[in-house]
Amino acid sequence: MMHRRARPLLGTLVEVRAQAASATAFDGAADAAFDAVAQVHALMSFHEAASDLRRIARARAGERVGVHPHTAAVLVRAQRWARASDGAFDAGCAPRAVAQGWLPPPDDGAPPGALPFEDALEVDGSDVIVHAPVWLDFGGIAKGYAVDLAVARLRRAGVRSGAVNAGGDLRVFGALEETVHVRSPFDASALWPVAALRDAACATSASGAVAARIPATGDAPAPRSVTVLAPSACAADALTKIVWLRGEGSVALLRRSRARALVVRADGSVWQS
Amino acid sequence: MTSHRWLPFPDRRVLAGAGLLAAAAVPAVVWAATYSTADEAARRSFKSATAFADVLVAPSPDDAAALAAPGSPPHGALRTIEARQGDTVLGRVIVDSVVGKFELIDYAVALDPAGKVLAVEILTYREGHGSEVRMTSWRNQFVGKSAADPVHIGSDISNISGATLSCTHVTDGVHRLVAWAARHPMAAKAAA
Repeated sequence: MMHRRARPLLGTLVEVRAQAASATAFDGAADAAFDAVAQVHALMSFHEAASDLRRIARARAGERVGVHPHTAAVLVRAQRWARASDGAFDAGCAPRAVAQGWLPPPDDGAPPGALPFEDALEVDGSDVIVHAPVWLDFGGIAKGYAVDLAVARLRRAGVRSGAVNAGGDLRVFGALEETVHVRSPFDASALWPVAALRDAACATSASGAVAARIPATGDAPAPRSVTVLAPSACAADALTKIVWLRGEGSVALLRRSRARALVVRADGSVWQS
Repeated sequence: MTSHRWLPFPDRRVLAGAGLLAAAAVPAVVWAATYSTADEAARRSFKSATAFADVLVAPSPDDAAALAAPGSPPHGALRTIEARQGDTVLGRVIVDSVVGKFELIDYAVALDPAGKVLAVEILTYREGHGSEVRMTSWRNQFVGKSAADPVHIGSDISNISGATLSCTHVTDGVHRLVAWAARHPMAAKAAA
C-alpha cells in the first residue's frame, strides 16, 4: 500500500511517499527520512547562526572550521559543479541574495570579497580550510542533497519504492516509472505532465529566488523556469542553476551528467535537451 | 536502473499564446493531498501514550485574537488531543489550519507539557487559485471531505515540480500556537 506523510522543512513542504507493508513500517522509515532532511536544514541554513554555513561565514582567512560530514559532502559537490560550469554554479552568492533581500543580513561581519568560493574554501576531511572569507548559500544544492539522503534512509529502512519531494525537488525510486508534473511558471494552478522517471530525480527553478542569486546576462529571453531530469536530486538541483545561466551552452555538461533540461522562457518559447 | 525521458510537450507555439497555456495543462482547479489524520499524528508523536483525549478549547477573546493570522478574524475553538501514559501527561497535539496565497493547509503541532515543539506534521494540503483559497465558501466545500471525493480533481497527481511553495504560513501558525501553549501550560498529572 502507498503511504504518504508531509512536514514543513527546508522552508517548504517535504513529502515522503512509500510503498510499505504496514503503517508502522512506513512511519519508522518516514521518521528516519524526515530526520535526515531536518539535519541538513539545521546544518546548512543561512538563517540559523549556529549552522555550519554561518560558522564558515564567521571564520577569518587561515582558519579551519570543523563541519559535519554532510556539510563537507555538499561543499565538495558544490565545488565540483562550480568548476564543471566555469563558475556558473556559485554557492558563494549569499552576499548578492542578502543585498537583494532574499536572505536576512547576517551578523557575521563585513561581506566577503570576490574570490570564488571554490578557490576560497578547501575541504580537508571534515574540516573546511578558509583561505578567504565566504558567505555560502546552499540554496541551489542542499535541498537536492537532502532529498537524496532521505531516499537513502527510506531504502535502508527496507522501502523498495517511493518518492521524496521537497517543494519540487523530487526523486522517485523503485521499479515503476512515474509521471512528473511541472507547475507552469505563468500560472501556478496549471500543471504540465512533462516527464517520466524511474529511479531518477527532477528539479525546477523558477524566477524569483533564482533571479536574485544569478546575475542577469545577455540578450536571450530570460528563463521563467528551468526543469532538469538527472540521476540524483542533488545533480538536478545544481544543474537547474547552471542551465538558468548558460542555457543551450550547458548541453555538454548535461550530457556528461546524464541529465536533460527543459527551459521555458518569458516569451513562452521552450528549449529541451 | 535510473532512466528519465520527456513526455510529448505542448508545441512551443501553444505555449507562446499565454491564453492557451491553461488548455495545454491538466485542469487542476484544485489539487489536494491528504497525508495524515490528527489522531495518527498524535500516535506518532507520543508512541508511549496509553490514552488520548480530545479536548476542545474555547479561547478567550485575547487568545482568539492572538491565535489569528494578521488581518484574519479571531480564531475559533482549538482542537487539541492530550496524550497520557497512566496519569502522567505526555503532552498534546494542537490541530490548526492556515490560509496561504494558493493553499489551505491543515497541520498538527505536537508539544511536550513544557510547550516545546516535538513535531509538526502536515495533515491536508489543498491548492487552488489565490482568490479561491481566501473564500470561505471555497474552503467550506472541503469540510468533511476525504481524498476520495470528486472535488479533489488533481489528487492522483503524485509528483509536482515547479515554483517552490512556501511553508511560511505554517511556520507563523506554529509560532502562534507555541505562544498560546506557553500561556496555557499543562499540568504534569491528569485530573482524575
